[in-house]
Amino acid sequence: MMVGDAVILIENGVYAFAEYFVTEGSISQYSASVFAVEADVLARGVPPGDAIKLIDYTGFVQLCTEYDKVVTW
Amino acid sequence: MSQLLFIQQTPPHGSIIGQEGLDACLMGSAFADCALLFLGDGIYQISGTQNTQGLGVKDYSVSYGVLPDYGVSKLYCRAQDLEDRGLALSDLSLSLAALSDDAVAQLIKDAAQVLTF
Repeated sequence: MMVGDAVILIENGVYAFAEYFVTEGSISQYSASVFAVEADVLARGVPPGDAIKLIDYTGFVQLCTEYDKVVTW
Repeated sequence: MSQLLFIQQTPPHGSIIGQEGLDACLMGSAFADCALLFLGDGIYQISGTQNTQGLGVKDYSVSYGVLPDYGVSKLYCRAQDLEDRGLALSDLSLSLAALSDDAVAQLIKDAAQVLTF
C-alpha cells in the first residue's frame, strides 16, 4: 500500500481489526484510510477500533468510485 | 472418553459451515457422547456480541447456548488461538476449557471419530 490508499475490510476480512491492524499497529505505518462494512462488523461482534471508519454498502460503492483502481484480495 | 469430537475451524456468517457444524453436533448428541473443540478462527464462532440484522441472515450463534441442555458439556478451545487473536475466555459466550497444544492432540487422539467443519 502507499500513502493515500484506502482499504475496505469486508466479510471475514473484518477480523483483521483484531488480528492484524490492532496488534501490529499497521494503520499508522501505511498512512492509509481503513474502512469496514458495518453489517459485517456487527454480525461478527468484532469490537470496532477508533482508527477504522464504519461504512454501509452505499459508502462501499462511493469509495470505489473515488479511487482510480480497485483491487480485491 | 468422547465418542464424537466436533471441530469448528471457520469464523461465523462468512459461510454456512459453522452452522452445519453446530447442527451436526446437536444431532450427534442424541445418540453419542459428544465434545466440541474450537480451533483457529473457529473461536470467532462464539466471540463478541454478534448482530446479523444487517446481513439478513439468522444469528445461529445464540444456539450454542443450548449445548449443555443437549448434554454436550465437553467444550474446548486452544489457548494459543485465544492469545493470537487477543481474546480471553471472558470474551466468549460459552464456558470452555482452554487447552495446550499437547492436550488438543490428546483430545483428538482419544476421540473415536472426529468431524471437522
